[in-house]
Amino acid sequence: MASGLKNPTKLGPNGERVAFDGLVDTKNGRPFTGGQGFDLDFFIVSDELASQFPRKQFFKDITRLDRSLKPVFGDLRKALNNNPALQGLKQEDAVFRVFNSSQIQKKLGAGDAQILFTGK
Amino acid sequence: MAFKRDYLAMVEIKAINTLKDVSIQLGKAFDGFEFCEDTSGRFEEVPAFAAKKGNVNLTLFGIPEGEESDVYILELSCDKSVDRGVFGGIIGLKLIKIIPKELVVGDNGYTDISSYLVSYINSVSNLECWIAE
Repeated sequence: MASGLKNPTKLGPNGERVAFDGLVDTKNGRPFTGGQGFDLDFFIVSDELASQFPRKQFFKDITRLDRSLKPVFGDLRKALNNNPALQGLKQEDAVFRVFNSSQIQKKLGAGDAQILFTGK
Repeated sequence: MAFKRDYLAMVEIKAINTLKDVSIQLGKAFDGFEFCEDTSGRFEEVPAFAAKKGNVNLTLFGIPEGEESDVYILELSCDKSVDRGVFGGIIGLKLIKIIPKELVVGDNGYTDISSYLVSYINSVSNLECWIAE
């Protein structure tokens, strides 16, 4: 996914590439044409939020901590699916998965491509 | 107008059988819920079997490769709020009967029925389960 983010004109506070240029659905550098479509994986790194989930739950969907987030992510899905630059995006609600800092480091170490936005 | 709730439950099931075996046992415990392995990638590296009936979802999460755990997690969730009558019609009489009519909605907006789900599963199957902690 990260290899599809090519617009250098919009960078995050730490120089992250955060903009799409219309070609976002790539795999190994080539347009992805799989029948399933593609998805966007969102995540939040927070030890505090992660600790509010059962310790042995590996898939921590943040809406399970606050029901009021469900319609917000439903609206986000609609907005993403209506974006012509994201044709082929799966028709499913955006899920923001929660990781603690050690879990996300582990994924990063395993070669996971991550684009991080920070905020206070 | 009936009061609608967003029911949620998270329970741990002892991982002494394969995830598929447990999903089959759960399918027998919940009439009309047919568990299928999720191959959509929705749960990324976490293996899962999911079943859906009406607006109610049962998702059995396994243990990702390279991770260690002795339990699977079963989650019950609703696509949208449902009234007690509709919910009971979906999950079955035996379970709805042990869920009190007056339950407090949690600060998170959900009605947590984890303890009742544990009682139900332990009573109708050979699975060992308890509230996820």
